[in-house]
This record gives sequence, structure tokens and C-alpha cells, in this order.
Amino acid sequence: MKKAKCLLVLGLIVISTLLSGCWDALPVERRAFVTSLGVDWLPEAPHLNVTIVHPLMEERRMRENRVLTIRAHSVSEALTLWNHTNGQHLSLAVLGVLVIGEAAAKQPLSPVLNDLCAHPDFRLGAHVIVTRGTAQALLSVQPPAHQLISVHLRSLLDRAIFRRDAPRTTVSAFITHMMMPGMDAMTALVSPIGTLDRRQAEKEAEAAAPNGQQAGGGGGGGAGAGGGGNGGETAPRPPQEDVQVVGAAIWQGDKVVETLTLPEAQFVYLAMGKANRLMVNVMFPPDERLFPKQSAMVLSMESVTANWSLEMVQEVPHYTLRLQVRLSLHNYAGDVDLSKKDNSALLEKMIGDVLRQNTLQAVQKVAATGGDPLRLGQLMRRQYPELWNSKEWRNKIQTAQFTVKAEAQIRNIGLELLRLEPVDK
Amino acid sequence: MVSLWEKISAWLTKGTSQDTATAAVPLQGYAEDLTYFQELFRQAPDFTVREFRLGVAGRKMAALYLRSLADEARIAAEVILPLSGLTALVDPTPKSSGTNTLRNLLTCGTITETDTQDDALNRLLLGEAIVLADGLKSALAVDARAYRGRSVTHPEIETTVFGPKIAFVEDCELNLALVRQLIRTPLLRIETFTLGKRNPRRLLMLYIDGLATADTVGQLRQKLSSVDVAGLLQTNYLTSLLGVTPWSPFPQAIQSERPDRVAGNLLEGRIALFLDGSPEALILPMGFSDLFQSPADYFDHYAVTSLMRAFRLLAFLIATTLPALYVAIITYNYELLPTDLLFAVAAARAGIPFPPAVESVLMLVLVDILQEGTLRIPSKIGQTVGVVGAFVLGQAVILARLVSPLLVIVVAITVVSSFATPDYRVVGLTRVLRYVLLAAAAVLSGIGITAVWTAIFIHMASLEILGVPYLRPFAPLRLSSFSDFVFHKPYRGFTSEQNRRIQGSDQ
Amino acid sequence: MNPKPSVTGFQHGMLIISALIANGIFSLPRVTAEEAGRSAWVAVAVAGLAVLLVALLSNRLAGLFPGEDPAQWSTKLMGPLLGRIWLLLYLVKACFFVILTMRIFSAIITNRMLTHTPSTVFATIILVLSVLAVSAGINSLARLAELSVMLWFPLMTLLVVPLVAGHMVHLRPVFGDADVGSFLAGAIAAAYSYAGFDILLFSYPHLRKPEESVRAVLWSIGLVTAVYTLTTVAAIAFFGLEHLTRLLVPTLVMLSIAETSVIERFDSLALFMWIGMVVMTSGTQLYMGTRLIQGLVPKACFRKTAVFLGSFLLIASWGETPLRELITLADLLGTFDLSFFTLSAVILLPLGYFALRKRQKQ
Repeated sequence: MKKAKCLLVLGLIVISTLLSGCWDALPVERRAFVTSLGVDWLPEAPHLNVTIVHPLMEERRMRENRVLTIRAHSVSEALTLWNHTNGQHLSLAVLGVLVIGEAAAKQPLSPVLNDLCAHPDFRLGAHVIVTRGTAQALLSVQPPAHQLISVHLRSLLDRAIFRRDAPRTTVSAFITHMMMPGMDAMTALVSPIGTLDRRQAEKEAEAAAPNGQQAGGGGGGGAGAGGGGNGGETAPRPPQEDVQVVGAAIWQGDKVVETLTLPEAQFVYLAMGKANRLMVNVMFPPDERLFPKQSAMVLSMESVTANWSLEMVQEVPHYTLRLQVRLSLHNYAGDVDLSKKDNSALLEKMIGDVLRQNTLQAVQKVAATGGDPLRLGQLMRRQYPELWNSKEWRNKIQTAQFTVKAEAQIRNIGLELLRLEPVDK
Repeated sequence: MVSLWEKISAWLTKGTSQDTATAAVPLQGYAEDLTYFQELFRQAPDFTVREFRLGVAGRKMAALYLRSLADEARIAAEVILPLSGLTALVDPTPKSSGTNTLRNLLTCGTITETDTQDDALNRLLLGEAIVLADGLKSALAVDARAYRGRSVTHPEIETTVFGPKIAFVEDCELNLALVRQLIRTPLLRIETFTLGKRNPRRLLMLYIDGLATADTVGQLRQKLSSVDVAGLLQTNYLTSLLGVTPWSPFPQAIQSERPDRVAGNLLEGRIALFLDGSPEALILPMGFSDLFQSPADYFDHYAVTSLMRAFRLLAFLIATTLPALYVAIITYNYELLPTDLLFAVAAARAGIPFPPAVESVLMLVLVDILQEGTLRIPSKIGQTVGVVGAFVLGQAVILARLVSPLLVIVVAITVVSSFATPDYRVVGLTRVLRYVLLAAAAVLSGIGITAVWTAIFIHMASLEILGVPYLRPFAPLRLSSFSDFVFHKPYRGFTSEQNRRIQGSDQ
Repeated sequence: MNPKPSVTGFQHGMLIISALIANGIFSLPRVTAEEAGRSAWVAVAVAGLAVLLVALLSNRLAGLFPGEDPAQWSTKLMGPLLGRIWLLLYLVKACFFVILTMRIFSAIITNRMLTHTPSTVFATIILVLSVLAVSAGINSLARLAELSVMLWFPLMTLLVVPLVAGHMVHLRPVFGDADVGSFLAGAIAAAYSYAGFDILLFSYPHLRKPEESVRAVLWSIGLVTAVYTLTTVAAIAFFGLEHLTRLLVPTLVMLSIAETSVIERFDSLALFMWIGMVVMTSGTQLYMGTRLIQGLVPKACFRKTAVFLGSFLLIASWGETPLRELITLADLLGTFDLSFFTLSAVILLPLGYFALRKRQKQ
């Protein structure tokens, strides 16, 4: 009895040692961790220009980016090509951002996503970003303090999400949006800034570096070619630069149909009801009671509720948005005492009016593209399942009618009864 | 007590009678027995035969004892003097001087009648004096053992800040006295066994009637009487003799040097064993949870104790699994780490010539050798060597870029954690498990680690000690017992179950 | 084998949970959603209730033969020939279950984590551990079940993350776009995940207090149903129907989204930890298989039979089968399992009562 047990345990040890060949063993320092992946589209085949950023793993230099560009027919091909030329195992487990170039965003993204998802350790939590210009240019940016570009971009999005002026769309959320008609994705639109001096420096760097590892790199696209240390040699470093959020990209399925400017995007977020802490800069027309002349005001949203309702009138969807906003003012330009109730009620009405106008414009602009980040289609599917047709939805939303009703409420904080000012005024 | 003895000796003879070579030989008669013993101890200078007569002209008698074990003065005063000197009142005829008369005359406390050579021999070897009388078929064994050991001292392994400062010694009678002082109830049962045929050794089995389940006591009694060994020197041997699975790396009995711990465990319904010559008590049955209980727990605040017990469990987990986890993560499952940490680890590993598994084994073996080495070095310089080894070697291997700095941290945490469990034997256990887990992690990543842990759980689940599952408070789940496992609840006297059992036994 | 009945009611329930939980949880949301659409979770709950009913009937059946498991009572109840055929059928089912449980899990590991390691390595480990778990008998298996479920069950709290991150719009309307037929189809598709509750037939005779069995069956299957339903709800809310139906093992993908500052990828951790549950699930099936062989060949030694059966199954399933095919096979087997037990319970229960009355008259 005991013998059998002993044999069993021995068998376990023997079998496991015999069978295990450490097939997948590869120490962490011998893997190349891709932190950012950029996809650009070129007019002539092979169409894809894939930019891979991974940190140098040598000690003390680990925070430096190594940017490489490979031209291929598909992302999968590009990754395999990279593996073969470098002999290092490429890992997508810590991928921070997936950057789509402006041109690539207009092409279907699903082949790229399929390729990435087939990679066993692909991180679905990576963020999807659309950039103005090319992804290559964005990823070649050397952020301040030798930060990894992916970390920089992610913290940019984190800050943006705090201010609520950019959505933080992960790949997995993106796929879900892409698959569901009537709830399209909306991603942040970013742009590199301070690119004036850089081109010169980079051209010098490119001339100095042998073009060994780039399979088809440095090709067209736009702003610049793969920078950074190519193979470890020290190229003159481009001046420090930064990236900023410039708006949002509206997707229709897996293609971008329209880009919004930052103020437009902000009003779309307002219409989504996801605008707590959002700061909006709005222009007010002159009004004799409140402002002597046209003036800009910064509104800070404290809480926003957005209720959408739908009515079908002769098969045309009529959407009504009821916005209830509680906000605080930061730079009221007039000199009327707002602590008086009449005055503040007047101003509240005025703010409501401005919000209504701007929101309506933004919503109409979005709907006109056929994209549906506001999930209006899902509202229709729930309320009128018999009229819902996912294939015709794109056309239908373009004909939809919108009404916006906005109510603003100024939130006064502090314990002052009246405005503090000299009594003799 | 005497009747118990008879029962036990009956068991013992029953147990041994199967063995024809050592079948019990009855005493042959005065002269023959005397020659037999003299022949047997021909070369033993401490073997003493003191011949005398009962009264002035009574029957021939002899007191046999080993000077090294027995107390000569006591034998002179309590055996020889009453029998040879104070017999004026006794009728010297053989008829009226049977064993009962002799027994009456002897002034010492414990007298046993023995009628086989083996039993007499065993008693002689245990330090008793054998009184042979001409014309009688049986002999008397007089307990006149001398105590030649150290006196009671402080505990050295299970030290506590508060609480009694007494530890057991090598003499089991004295140990019994120490326990008796703490448990003053007639329900405390003490059974004596003689283990070892050629080299007999006394063993006491203590339990509280009614608290210890009859089933458990019966099983242990049966096991003890079937123990068949030439000699037994340490309680350790006993553990493996009594254990159900001797090859199991898990300790299967509590070893304690503290009377209060033994008393506490007796009150919990367990059984304590004292082996003569061994300064620890063996407490049975033991569960996995007992490995994490320290005697100091009962002198501390319950909140502190509960927290510390949770930490000990955590430390056990760390001590066994951390190096394996390191290897698994570095070699296979890097995706578990947060990005920043991953890059820091990768940068620290850059340029290290060995693969993580080799690096870890190297470091662990080095530390284990260092640990073993410092044990042997005299304590005065041992500490210095330990410090030098730890600091200098640790620093040197990092500077030489043989191992990554992270591994040094991992190994340091591992080693320190392995000492956090109160039971010293756990250190050995964690060492064994650590290497097994490391090997599994090196070939099969985290899957290997969980597979080995599953195997360990399977083993622990199948382990039963005297019919009590090893994993008891967990499996089978007993919420009432949890109050003294990780969560140590404030003491409120006996539990209702203990009370019920005691009352049940009183009826 | 165990002269003294010593399995507690709690252990009985834990055995049932551990026999159910590792089967198919990774693919359950998809296979049900394919049939029942966005109200798949209702189908999962309905399937749980149906299984509960069958389990309660089986429990009654086991209660008719105190101290005996199917290996012993089947021939008494159905006669030597029919009883043996029933046992054989049961044995084949149990064998397929062991194979599928270990193969699916191994295939998931090779597809997801250790891509270069052959899945047979993991299958071997699972089988060796299962044999080890089984060979010490039902008492030890019950303790192990208790321990494993208590240790691994907290993993289920990870499901909260996708639930919070999901969109409730995916779940609405609750009973919207599915008819009764597709509900039923969804419930049948969920059957594989609920397979294995028949361990209760085997642990019933070892129960210390057989009257606790009904309660244990109720809470254990109820708990599993709750977990499954919650998983399905979370998966639908997180992925939406269209994305969900395109994922092979949605539960695992869902776990990979849960990122914290200490551990970044919970799916790997969940896979590691899950091996304990998989060993339990294949272990319970292996236990049943071994007992069934003993029912067919009464003189067989339990331990040796377990080792033999384990090695046989390993060799029989040697080779790499694609995960997709395995899951399809599993669904078939689940349907077979549910119908086998429903039929058995419905037919055998009156037979058992009849036999009992006959015995009582004598």
C-alpha cells in the first residue's frame, strides 16, 4: 500500500521531469517588451508601416525608447519579421498603447486587431489612440525625463480622463464597440507638438545610422522616420517634445469617419452624460444685464445628467436630450452681483442656452457622419425592436432629428451671503 | 497503578509471545537466576549482587541492581535493612515468609512482583533493584532508581516573554511531576510502557480521561504495544514509528519542552508521551494548524496573536514558494508583473550569466550551507560568521554580477520567513518544499507551482494521525476549532464541548 | 472500502461543487449565448434548476440503497445483464469526462500561456494528480474538495470587475429576443458545465448523516448555478452579444482585463489556480470510473484500478486535439450526460421503490 504510494510519487516526479522540456522558458531580459505599437497606412503595397517601441533592457538605459519601423502586409508579418531579424522574442504583454495613424484610421482596423489578438500574450487593456499625421511620428517623440512613450501617452490619457476631455478606450472595449452596431467607438485624437526643430536633427541621425534592422523602414507617411537608437549607437537626440490631446475620432465600425475638435468633443461628452469635472470654454454673446460685451467663460461641470428619449415620427427617429448640469463659474466677466438670486437665475438660463446650442451642434455633426458613439442605436433597439435594423442604422441616424433641452444650475460654495466688496461701492 | 501495570505487561507479553526467539522464560529458582544474571553482567562493573539472609537465619536472599542507575543508599535503607535487620518479629519458617510478607517488610514505595527473567532483566536495566529469595518462584522489583540528571532549567527553544520558565528534563518521572503540578485531577491517566527489547526504555502515556477520545487512546495504545525495536533513543524515532506515513515530510506530532504546553494540550483532549532520556514531550494527534501555534500565543493579547498567526501562515507560504515564484515569473509568467516593476526586474537581470533557475539554486544552496555551517561553529563566533557570510557574500555576488540584486532580496525574505514559524521542524520542511517547488517552477512555470501545491494538499488531505485528519480545522471544516487556529479568540475557559465531555465521563 | 461513514454534509456539498465547477466555465457564456442570445444567463439559471431537479431525484434514488453506491446497487436493481450495460455506459461517460476535462484545460494553457509546450504535459500532470487524489479513497477526496473549493472559490470575486466595467445595455431587454426554443437550446448547451453532479450517488453511502444530503445538494448546485449565471451576466455585459459569440473562452479573456497595481494579468493567475479545481473535477470522475469498474469486476483492487484507469485514459487521449473540437465534443457529452441521468432517474426511481417494497414485504 505504502509502496504503491511511494511509486506514485516517484512516478510523478519522473514523469514531470521527463515530459517537461522547458519549452517556453525564456528569461525576462531576453524578451523585447513592446510598449507601444503604431500602425500607418501607405498608399502603395505593402501598405502597413508598423512602428514598434520597446525599452532598451540594458541597465541604466531601460527607460529609453527603441523605435523601429517595419513595412509589411500585415501586423502579424511585421512582428514575425522583427522576431526573425532580431532573434529576440517579442512580447505584447505590456503593450500600453496602440496608435493608429490618421491614414490608417480611415482603413479597416479589424485585420490589425485580428492579428494582434492571435498573439497569445497580447494585452487587451492597451489603449487605442488615433493620431494626427503618422503613428511613427508620434511614437518617435522623446518625452521629457526619458519617459517611455507609452507611459507618457497613458498618463496623458489619465489626465484627460480626469478632465473628461478624452475617452480612454481599451482594445477590448474598442472591439466590443466595433462589433455592436449602434454603439460605435470614440477614441482620443492626439498630436505631437513642438516638432519644428526636430526634422533637421532626425535627418542627421538617419544619415548617421546604418539602415540595418529596418525591413522597409523610414518610408513615406509624413513627419519623420524611425528615430531613437537603432542598434544601440548614440544618435544625436532630438529635442524634448510633448504630445497633446487635440480632439476625438468618431469611428464607424472599424473605420474613422470624422474627427472632432476638442471643444466639439467636449460637448459630445456632455451629451453622453460623462462630463463630471469637465471644463468647457464658451463664448457668451453680449447681454446688457450681465455682460457689457461678448466674453469667454470657463465652466466647470460638477455633475451632469443626460437623459435621452426617443420617439418615432413616420419612421424617422426624433431624439430628445434633457441635460441637467450643475457647474461652477471660474471667470465671470461682468460685474453684476451673482449672489443675488435674480441675477444668478438669469445667468443660469443663459448658460443653459449656450450649452444647448453647442451640444446640439456637436450631436448633429456626429450624427451626420453615420457614426454613433452616443449609443442612440441601442436606445432604438431597446425601445423599438421591430424597427431596429442594424444594417440600415447608419443611414437612419443621418436623418434623425434632435432636440436638446438644457438646465444649468450654478453651484455657489463658500459661506458669504453677499459678494465681498468695499461698502461704499 | 499496579493493576494497570499487570494489564500492560500482559499486553506486552502478548505482543512479544509471537516471537519465539525471545519467548518469556520464567524465573528458574534462586541459584539459577543468580548465576544467570551474574553471567549476563559478567563484564559490568556496576552490576552489584548483595546477598543476605532474611532475618538472622531465614531464607537466602539477594538484591541485584546496577549501581549506575539505582540509589545504593536507598536500597540499603529500604530493602536490605528491613529484610535482614528488622525481622525479629517474623516467623522464620519458609511458609510464612512468602512474597506478601516480604512486600510488607519493604519500606519503599513501588514494589512489583515479577516472575520472568526478561521482565526482571528489563527492570534491572531501567534502574530497579531485583530481590531474589531462595525458595520463591517470583522475585520482587523495587523501584529505587537514582536520579542522575540535570535539574529543571529554562526552556531554550520555546521561549516566551511571560509564562512559566520551566522546561522538561531527561527523566520522565520528573517530567510527570511537572505536568502533575499543572493538572491536578484524578482523571489524568498515566500508562507506562517499556519499549525496546534489548535496550528497554520507559515511556509514559498521559491523557485526561473523558477529554481524549477512547478511540484515539486505544489506537495509540495498540500502536505503542506493537512497537518492536531494538532500542529507542529519541522521541524523533518514536514519531516515525507511530506515524502513519513515515516518508511524509510533515511533522506528525507536536514536540514540546514546556509543561504548560503539554498541560494545555492534554486539556484539549490530546495525548502526551514522555520517553525516558528525552527532554521533550510528544503530543498526539497533531494537525497542520499546530505548526503555527506558539506557547507564547497564550500569554499575548488575542488580537496580536491572531495577527501573528496569520503572518506565520503567510511566512510559511513565502518561505516555500517565493523563490519558485521568482523563477516562474522571470522565466515564463512575466505578464503577471506590473509594467514598471517588470522593466526594473528586466534591467536588474541584464547581464547575469545564469538562467534564473540556476541562479536561484546557487543562492539557496549557498544560504543553506551557510546556515548549516553557522550551526556547527561555536556560538561565540557563529554570529560573526553568519553576519559576514550574509553581508559579504551577498554584496560580493551582486558586485560580481553572478546573481541579480532582486534574487538576493528574494532569498533573504525567504530565509527570514522560514524562521517565522514557531516549530523548528518547519524550517526543514520549508527547505524541502522550496527545492521541489523551485524545480517545478523552473520546468513548468506557475502551473508547476500550483501542481506541486495541489500534490501537497492531496497528501495532507490523505494524512490521518490516530484517526484524526491532519487538516482538521479546515477539512473537515470545524468552525468551532477555528477559534484557536488563525483567529485566536479570547480565553473563556473550557469550551462547551470540553465541558460536555468531562461531565459525560463523570457520570 | 470505508467501513465507517465519515463524509460530512458540508463535504458532500463541496464534492458536488468541485465536480461541477471546473467543467466548461471558460466557454459557458459563449455556448449559451450562441443559442439563447443576450438572455443566455436565464438559460444558464434554468439549466441549473433542471440539474437541481435531476440531482434531487438522484439523491432520492441513492437514499433507497443505504450504504451502497451505483456500482453495488445497479446489478441488484436492473439485473446482472442490464445493470452491467448501464454500468458500462456510465463508465464510458465518466471516461470521456476525465479526458475532456483535462484535455480542454491543457489546450487552453497551450493556446493561451505556454504556447510551445505540448498540451500532453499538462494532461499528464492533471491525470497523475487526479490518480493521487483518488487513490486515498473518498474521505481524503472529500477533504480535498473542501479545501480546494474554499481556496479557489475566492477567485470568483474577480468576476465583479467585468461586471462593473460592462455595459448593462447589452443585457437588455431581459427576455427580449429569444423564444422558448432557443432558451431550451441554451439550457442544453449549458449542460456540460453542470455535468458531474452524479458524484452525489457515490458519496451518499459514505455520509455520516444521510439526511443532510438534500440540503447539501440544494446549496451546492444553487451556488454553482449562481456562479455560472453571474459569469454569463458578466460576460454578456462586458463583451456584448456580438463580440462574445466570437470568443472561444470568453471567461478567460474577461479575466485578463482585470488589472491591478500588484498583479497585472489575472487570467494567468486564474489559470494557475484553476489547476486545483480541474484536478478535483477529473478526480471525482476518475473516482466514479474506478468504482464503476469495481462494479463490473468486483475483485479489482481500488488503488490499482485507479492507476490503471488513469494511465489508460492518458494513453487513449494522447496527442494534440484543437481546443475548438474539444469544446464541441464537450457540448455533445454534456447533452448526453443530462439525458442519461434524467432518463436513469425517471426509470430507476420507480423501479427502486418497487424493489424496496418487495424487500419490505419479505
